[in-house]
Amino acid sequence: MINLKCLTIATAVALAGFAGNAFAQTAWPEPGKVVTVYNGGSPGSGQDLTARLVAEALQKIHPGSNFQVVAKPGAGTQLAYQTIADSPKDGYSFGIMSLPTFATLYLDPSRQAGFNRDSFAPAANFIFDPGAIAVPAESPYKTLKDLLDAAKAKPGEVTVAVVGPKSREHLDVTAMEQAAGVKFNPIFHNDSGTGLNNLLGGNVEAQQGSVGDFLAQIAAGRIRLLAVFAKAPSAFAPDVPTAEASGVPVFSGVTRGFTFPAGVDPAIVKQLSDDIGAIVNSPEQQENIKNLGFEANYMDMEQFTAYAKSEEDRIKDILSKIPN
Amino acid sequence: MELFGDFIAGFGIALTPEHLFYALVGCLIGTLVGVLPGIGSAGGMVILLPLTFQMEPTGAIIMLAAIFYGSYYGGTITTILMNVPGEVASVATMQDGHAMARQGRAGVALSIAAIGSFIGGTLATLALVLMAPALSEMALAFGPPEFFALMVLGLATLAFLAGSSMPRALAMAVFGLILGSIGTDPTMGSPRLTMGFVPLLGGLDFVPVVMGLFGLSEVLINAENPTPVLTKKDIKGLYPSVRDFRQSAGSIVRGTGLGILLGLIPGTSQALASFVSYGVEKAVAKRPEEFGNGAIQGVAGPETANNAHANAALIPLFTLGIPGSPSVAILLGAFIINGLAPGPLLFEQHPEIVWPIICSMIVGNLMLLILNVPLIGMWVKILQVPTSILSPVIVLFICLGTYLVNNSVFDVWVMILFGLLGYTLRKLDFPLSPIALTLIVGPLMENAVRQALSISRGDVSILFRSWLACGLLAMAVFVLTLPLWRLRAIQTRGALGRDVED
Repeated sequence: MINLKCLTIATAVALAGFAGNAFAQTAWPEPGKVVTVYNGGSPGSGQDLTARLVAEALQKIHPGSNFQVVAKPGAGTQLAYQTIADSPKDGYSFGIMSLPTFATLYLDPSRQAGFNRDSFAPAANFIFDPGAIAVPAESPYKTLKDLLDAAKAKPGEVTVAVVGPKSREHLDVTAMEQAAGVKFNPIFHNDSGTGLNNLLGGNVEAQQGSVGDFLAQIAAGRIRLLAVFAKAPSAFAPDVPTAEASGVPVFSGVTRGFTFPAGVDPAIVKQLSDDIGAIVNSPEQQENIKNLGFEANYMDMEQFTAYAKSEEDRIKDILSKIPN
Repeated sequence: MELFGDFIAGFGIALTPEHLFYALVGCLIGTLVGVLPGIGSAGGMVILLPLTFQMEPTGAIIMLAAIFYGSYYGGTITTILMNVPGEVASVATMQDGHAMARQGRAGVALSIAAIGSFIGGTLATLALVLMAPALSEMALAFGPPEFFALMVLGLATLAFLAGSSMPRALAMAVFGLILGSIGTDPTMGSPRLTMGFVPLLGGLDFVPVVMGLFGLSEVLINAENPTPVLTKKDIKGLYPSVRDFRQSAGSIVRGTGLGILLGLIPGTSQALASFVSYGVEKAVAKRPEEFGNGAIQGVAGPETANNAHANAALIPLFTLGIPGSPSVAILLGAFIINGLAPGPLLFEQHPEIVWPIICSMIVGNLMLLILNVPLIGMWVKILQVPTSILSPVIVLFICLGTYLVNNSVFDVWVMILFGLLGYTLRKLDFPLSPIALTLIVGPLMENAVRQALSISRGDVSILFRSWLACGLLAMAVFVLTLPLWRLRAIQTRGALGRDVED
C-alpha cells in the first residue's frame, strides 16, 4: 500500500516537474498574485495598447489573476528588454518582444545592451504588420521598380523617410539597397508620424514604414503603397504587390509577441504560449487586432524562438554589409 | 450648412448628462494633475486609460481630452502660487506669475490665466471646427527648412529671458544645448554624452530636468530662507480690474494666434508656445523692464498660448492622424482602441463621434473657466500655508510625478541632481529659463537642420528655399537684435534727459 502511495506521489511530482501539461492550467498564475506585463512603448502607444489587450484577455482566461501592464519607455525600447531580462524568473514577469528591433538593440555594440537572445524565453507571437513603402499619391513613381530605377539612375539622391538610424525602417531600406544594388538617401525622423508629415508635405519622395502606419492615408487616397515586404499581399491592401514580386526579395515587418526572461519554467512558457494562441483565435480579439492595424500572426514558443533566431541572422547579415 | 448641422447635432450629444459628467470628471482630474507638480497631462491620462477601454468611445475620448486640456489650467495654479512648475509648459509663466503672487495679486494672475486659457482654448477649438482641413494643409508647408527657421525664432526669444546679464544667460543657453544633445545622434545612431548610462540613450526627459531645476531648487531655497507667509491683509483683490484687462487683452490675442500656429505643427510642444509667447510679449511691451517683476502680460500671453496649443494640437491628430506630442499620442491610442483611425476620413466616417468630442471641448473649456474662477479664493489660501508644511508635500509630488512619466527611478535621480544644480546656479545668480528653452528647442532644431541638409545633400541654400523660411529667419534676426535697438533708444533718450537737467 505504502509503496503504491509513494509511486503515485512520485508520478505526480514527475508530471508537474516535466511538461506539466495537465496541471499547468491551474498552476500558473496563482490566483491573487500579480503578473507584470512590461512593454517598451510610451503609454497609449501601439506596444502599450497591445500589452493591455492581451493582459485583459489573459485576465479572463485566468479568473482571479491580476495582470498589470507597466510601460517602460526609453532608449528605444531597450530599457523594457533590460527590465524583462533582469526580472525574477518565477513566471510573474514577462513582456512584449517586438522583432526585428529587439535583435538590433543587442547586435549594435554601441548600445551596450546587457542582454542578448539567450537572456529570454520567447513564449509566442501575437500579431504582425508587414513592412511597406509609400509615396505621395501624386508621385511619378507608380511601382517599386520605378523608385528603384530612379535610385539607380541617381545614386544617393532619392529621399526616403525612415525612423532613426538602424531602426527597422532604416534597415529595410538598407536591405532593399543591398538586394537591388541601389543607393537611397535616408532621411531620419523621431517617429513615423513626423515622417508622414514630411511625406505628405512633399519634402521626401518616399517613406518606409509598415502597412499600419499608412492605412488612414491610403483610405483617403493621399498616398500610394508601392510594395509590402511580406510573403503575400496584406489583407489591408490586397492590390499592392509584394516586394518579392517587384524583384526585391526582402521580407520584413514588425511582430509583437511575448517573452519571459530565460530560466522560467518551460511549463509556464508553454502555458502562456497556449493562452496567446487561444486569444488570437477569439473573434473579439480579431476585431481588436484589426483596429490596431495589425494582422493576427500566431507563432507558438518553438516557432517564435526560431523566428527570433532567423531575424537575428537577417539583421546580422544586413549590418555586416553596411560599409563603415 | 452641413457643417453647421453636424456641429449643432454634436452639441446635442455633448450636452447629454452622461457626456457632461465625463467632461466634468476629465476637467477635475486634469486640473488636479496640473496642480500636482511633476504629474502632467500624460500621467493623468495614463492612469485613466484602462478605465476608458470599458467605456463607450465618445465618453472615453471626451474624458481623456478634458484631462489633457484641463491640466494646463491646473498647472498655472502651482506655478503662480508656489513658484514650482505644475507643468513643463508653465515654466515661462513662473517669474511674473509668482512675482504677482508675492505682490498680493495672485488672484488677478490666476483669473487672467484662466480667462486667457479659456479664450485660447475655445478659439483653437473653433479653428478646428471651421478651418481644420485648410489649417492642416498649412502645417504641411512646414518641411525641415521651415521647421528649422521656426526653431531659430524660438531660440531668438532667449534674448528676452536673459534677466540682468546676457553672458550668464548665454552660458546657461549653451548648457541647455549640451544637455539637449545627450542621447543618440539623430543621423549616425551613435550614443552621445551618455556617460555609459543606458537610460540616457533616448535623451534627457524634460520632466525630471524641469522639476529639478525649477521645483526642487525652489524648495531648497525656501528651506534655507523661508518666504514669509502672506496674511489675509497682504492679498489684494482676487479679480482683475479694468486696467488689468486692458493691459492683457493684446497678450491674449497674440498668445491665441501663436498657440494655434505652433499647435498645428507636429513636434512642437506647449512649453515652446509659452516661451515664444513670453518673448513676444516682452518684445512688444511698452515697459519691458516690468517683466520678471510681475508683468501681467508675462502671465496672460504664455498661459493663453499653451492652452491654444493644446487644443490646436488636435487638428493634425484629427485631420492627418499625426500626434504632435506624447499626450496627444495617448488620445490617438484611445481612438485606435475603439476602432476609429484618425485621419483625413475621420470626419466623414464617424461624424457621430468626432463632433460631440469637439463640442465637448468647448463645453469643457467653459467648465474649466467656471470651475477655476470661483475657486481662486480657495487656491490663494495656499499662500498662507507655512513652507514647513508645503515643502514636504511638494517634494513628495515632484518625486512621484517624475517617477510616473517613465516608471523610472533613474529619472528621480536625474531630478534630484538637477535640483541641486538648480539651487547652486540660483545662488550664483544664473538665470534658469534659458536652460529650459534650449533643452526644448535644441534637439528639435538639430533634427530639422540635419534633415534639411540630408535632403539637399549638404547644400545650405535649402534653408532659405521658401518665403516662409526666410520670413521666419528674418523675424528671428529682428527679435534677437531688438534689445540692442532698445538699448540705443534708451541711451539716446537718457543722454537727452541729462542734457535737459543740466
